[in-house]
Amino acid sequence: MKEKNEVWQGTLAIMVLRTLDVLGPQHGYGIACRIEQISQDLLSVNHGTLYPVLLKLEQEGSITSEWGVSENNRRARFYRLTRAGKKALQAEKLHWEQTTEIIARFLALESGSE
Amino acid sequence: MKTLRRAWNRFAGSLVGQRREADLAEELESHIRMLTEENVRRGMSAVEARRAALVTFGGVEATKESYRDQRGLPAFAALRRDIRYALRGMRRNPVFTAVAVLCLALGIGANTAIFSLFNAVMLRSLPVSHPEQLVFFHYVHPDGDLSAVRRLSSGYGNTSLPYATYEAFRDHARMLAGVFVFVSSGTEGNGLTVDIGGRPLTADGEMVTGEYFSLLGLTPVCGRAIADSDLTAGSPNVAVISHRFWLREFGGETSAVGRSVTVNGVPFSIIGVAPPEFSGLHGTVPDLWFPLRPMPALRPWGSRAASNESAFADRRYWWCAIGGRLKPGVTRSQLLSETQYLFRQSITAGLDKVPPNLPTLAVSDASPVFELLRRQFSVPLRILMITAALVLLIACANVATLLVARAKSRQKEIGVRLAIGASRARIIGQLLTESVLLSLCGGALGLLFALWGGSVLLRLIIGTRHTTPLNVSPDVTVLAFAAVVSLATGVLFGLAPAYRSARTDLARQLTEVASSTTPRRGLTRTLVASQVALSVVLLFGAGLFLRTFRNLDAQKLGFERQNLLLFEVDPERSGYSGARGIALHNQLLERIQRLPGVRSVTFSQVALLSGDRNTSPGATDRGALTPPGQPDEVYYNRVGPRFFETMGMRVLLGRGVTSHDTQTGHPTAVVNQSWARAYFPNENPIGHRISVGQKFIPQQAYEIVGVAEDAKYHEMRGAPPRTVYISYGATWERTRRMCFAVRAAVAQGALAASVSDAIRDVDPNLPLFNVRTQRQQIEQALGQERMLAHLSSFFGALAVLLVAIGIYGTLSYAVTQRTGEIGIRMALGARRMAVVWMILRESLLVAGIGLVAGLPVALAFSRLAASTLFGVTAYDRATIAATVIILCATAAVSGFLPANRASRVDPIRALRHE
Repeated sequence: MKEKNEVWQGTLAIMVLRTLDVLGPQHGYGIACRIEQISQDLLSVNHGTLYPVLLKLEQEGSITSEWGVSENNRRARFYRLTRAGKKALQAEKLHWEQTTEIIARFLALESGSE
Repeated sequence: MKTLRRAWNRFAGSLVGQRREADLAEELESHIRMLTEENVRRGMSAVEARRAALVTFGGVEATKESYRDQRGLPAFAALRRDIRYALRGMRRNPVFTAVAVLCLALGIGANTAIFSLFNAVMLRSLPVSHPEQLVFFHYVHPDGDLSAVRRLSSGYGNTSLPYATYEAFRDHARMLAGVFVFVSSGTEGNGLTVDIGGRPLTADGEMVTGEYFSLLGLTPVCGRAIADSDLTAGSPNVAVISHRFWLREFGGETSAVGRSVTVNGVPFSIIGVAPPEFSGLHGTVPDLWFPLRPMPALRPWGSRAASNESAFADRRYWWCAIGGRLKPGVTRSQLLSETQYLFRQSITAGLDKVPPNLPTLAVSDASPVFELLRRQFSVPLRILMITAALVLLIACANVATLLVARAKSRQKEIGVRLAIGASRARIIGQLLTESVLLSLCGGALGLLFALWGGSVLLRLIIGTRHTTPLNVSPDVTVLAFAAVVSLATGVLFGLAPAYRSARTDLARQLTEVASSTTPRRGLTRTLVASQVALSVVLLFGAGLFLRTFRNLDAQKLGFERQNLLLFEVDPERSGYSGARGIALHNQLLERIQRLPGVRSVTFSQVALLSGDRNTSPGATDRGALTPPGQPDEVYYNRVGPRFFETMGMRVLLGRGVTSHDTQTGHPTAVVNQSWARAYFPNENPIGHRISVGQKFIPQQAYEIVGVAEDAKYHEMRGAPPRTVYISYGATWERTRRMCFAVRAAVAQGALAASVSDAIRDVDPNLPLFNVRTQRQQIEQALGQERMLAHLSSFFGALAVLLVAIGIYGTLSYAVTQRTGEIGIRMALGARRMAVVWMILRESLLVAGIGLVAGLPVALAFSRLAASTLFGVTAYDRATIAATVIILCATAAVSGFLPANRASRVDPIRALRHE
């Protein structure tokens, strides 16, 4: 149970960071909607699982938060990427690309005859 | 870096309060509202929209829980909850808590007290800078004759070396950062007469070289320390005083520096005060330090030098205790090889040929006194530590049984918690938290016991007469020990009950009404039986030590110990010498004899049973008594007139020493039975003459005038040695320190005061010291045995009490559990006695098992301690019998009360009790 959660938290973290990178400061609802939108409903997660991930990122120093006013004049907490977060995002991006490259090679091997 | 940051934030998060909670709730609510609005926009009704929003969001409480887990440290939060819950539980059961904490406090406190003693004797090092770099020199000599290189009359034992060796080390030892000499002035408690403004008192002194204070890293509290410049001939007489002396005699005033005091008649000026925690490198604690240069008045090196100028130059006179500091990086063995050569050079320089069998130098790190103390107390300390550990184990077993009993009443609660979803590990963790908390409370209380008891213990062991360099005040080591023992104890007694509780069968627990079957009692039985077994060991040991002490104390000593007052005077320090000194002693005798209430008075060189002794080779007109090279077997004691009458020793043949002998200087001697049997078997030794020393010297011989009954000399154990009592007053005698013994007609409290006045009448500048009674002297001699007897009895009684509590507690509980069963039996016709016997049988059975298990262990332990016993063997049958009887009686009595209660059960009420 625990393992799945950790892997899940990892991928969710990248999605959150990238979302904030592209959209700029957002509140929790906005991030959740964006993730749903980008993944084109291949991913259907409970919005609640976002919050522990947001807290973890904040504890690590990749994002910061403050209270603000949303589009509908509603009080909401906005999250923003920090410089350290940007660097972390770059590192994660590199890591993912390398990982997928390696796995792709292995998977490509299977269909060959050697 | 990231993990560090996250860890810090999580730690901070665990301490956060309510504000963050409110923020989170608000944030989640706003998210859900936005979802709801979106749903409304899509066309759902308000209620449906909210419901769909909640579904999309997921569980709000679950989210909050995950968030909280991420925010704080879940384990830490759980621990805090456990501790709060445990504290509430402790408050709800005050009696249980009080009994458990008290048991633990006694066990842990006893262990901590004894450990602080152990720490002070064995583990602590000297309060100087870098004590691990200090080294002390002594020599080792093979059997044989050292007279070619060392005078017989020099120094103390093997820690004294010639001054030339110090010079050699100082000038040529490259591996030493520095070297110093320290020499005691006189011996314990009566070294010097110090006169401060007309008031004489006794003090101990030490003569040291200039590097002593600087090498040890001691900075004076005020004034300065002794330096090299003070050692040159002709420089003024200066002294440094100890902190304790400064507080006692000068009230801690800084004006003490510069004041003048008279030491043994010679004026000295005080130049500084030593730091408070330093108490010397010897067993005796110096009150004053002097520069090491020829100062005969200070009587360094105990015995006499031919002339004290020559003590510095005479290579054969060995009187200096030498210590030094290693250069960093040098090992002791490296140092030894360098200094061995220097030592050899220094003792053989100037000799025509090098004699064989030279002594060899040895280097040690602990100062000589700690060695002595450690050797002396190592065995009793270990015995005590084992005893204390056993008591703690018994206390643990006791608390464990209490916990098991209490756990049974909590089965429902634990069942419910398991049903809700707690893991067994969490339950065990929580129960362990409770037991560790109990034992930490017990440990804190026990530490208080130990603080108070530690100094009492030290005084019991060392005795009140001697000052000691030991310091039992608790330091970090002792506190750490107490903490570790508390924790370990908590886990030890908590684990078994916790494990048992968590292993419950859920279904049975929640559905069962009342159990009419007898509950499993294996664990409790084992615990109580092990308590009994441990108590057997303790009681048996206590019995042996008590009997040893009684046997020693009840021995016939050969003299009368009651109503005998002892004190010492040392006229030489007040300027007396030769015949004047001898006359003084006789004057004092006369004066004291005239005091009302005094039956008789005498003096002797060595006080009986003080541990001091005087042995020497001897020779009669028939030849030497002991062949040369063999150890001296003859003990001597210089005594004054009426010695035998005052001490209560019987003279079997001839007469004792009279004042006629001492005053006319006609030397006489009285020998004891053992001596007469050894050297004049089947003959009368009276009329023969004896002299002290290897060869018979007619001009310095004593005429044997009597044979006395055997009496103890210096120790309580062992047979009386062959003793010769020689009269003091011969013309070749010098003024000596003497111990006076005053036999009072009845016990008198004010005798010491009137004696002191009498002495002041004779000479106001003559202090008397070491005032005590013979009985106190004997108590001192038996100090260790008495301590062992008292402490082991205390622990034994404690063990019996704990066992009684344990048996009573478990049986009471069992009776409560079995009320239903007992009711049925009685309803069916069982008689009261049968019920009583049924319950009592339990307790006797458990006690029996414990006895059978414990006796072999007890006997094994007593074998180990056999060397400390006296008058009892390690397998003493009477003691075994006593132990068995005491424990059986305890089991019977403590079992009888619950058994009695069981028999009074009203069958009808019992059956309804279900």
